[in-house]
Amino acid sequence: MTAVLGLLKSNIALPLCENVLESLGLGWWEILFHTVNLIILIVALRFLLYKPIKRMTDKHKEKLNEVFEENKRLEQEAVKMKDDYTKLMDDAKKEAVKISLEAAQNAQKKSEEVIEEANEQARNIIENAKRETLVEKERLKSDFKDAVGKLSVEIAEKVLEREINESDNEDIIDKCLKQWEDK
Amino acid sequence: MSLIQVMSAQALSEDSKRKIETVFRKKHDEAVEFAYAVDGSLIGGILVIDGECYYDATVKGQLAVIKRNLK
Repeated sequence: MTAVLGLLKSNIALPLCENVLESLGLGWWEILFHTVNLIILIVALRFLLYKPIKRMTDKHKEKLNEVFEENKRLEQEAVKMKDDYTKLMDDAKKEAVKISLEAAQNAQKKSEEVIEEANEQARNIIENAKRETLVEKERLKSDFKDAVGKLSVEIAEKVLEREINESDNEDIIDKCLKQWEDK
Repeated sequence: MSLIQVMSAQALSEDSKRKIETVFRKKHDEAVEFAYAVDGSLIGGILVIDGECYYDATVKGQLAVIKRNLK
């Protein structure tokens, strides 16, 4: 590059260029014209092609960024929801364990109460049976005593009917008369 | 005249009758009459019914008392 600039700056370069341009059939005005055309083309292309395409690609990039951001946000949301769900599941499991423990304890307590009630009823039945047995025993004793008494008196009646003679009768009469005399 | 009924298990001797009449005449100011009867079911002793008063010295009566007391 510095060599080319050096060459251009020297006087050799300019006549050399003129010779080359003459052999190609190009004049300075054509070169200038084509240069201006090129510049205009470049400027036009810049405004008609480059800028719209750049705008489109920028828009596309922006959209992609938006989608990327949205994905990121949704991913974060999904992670948060998963965490919430996991926490809910853990809480629900703990609650279920607590409820089943309570139910087991209640069932245990209830069964103990039922057993105690049954024991109490059994004890009452036994007590009642004992009481009734005692009452029945007393009744039988009393009935037996009555029967024995009745039988003894009947036997005594029979024996006395046979054994009491006139002399015994006289004695009985004398004794009772002595008692009645004082009355 | 009052009537006194005397019931006995066996026929009473005259001596027994006399003793009974002596005791019961003392209880009355007026004259009394005695009626004697025999009831074998009395077993022994005598039962004297003097108006509303009962004098029970029968064996049957005593046995009834024993029977009552045994209940």
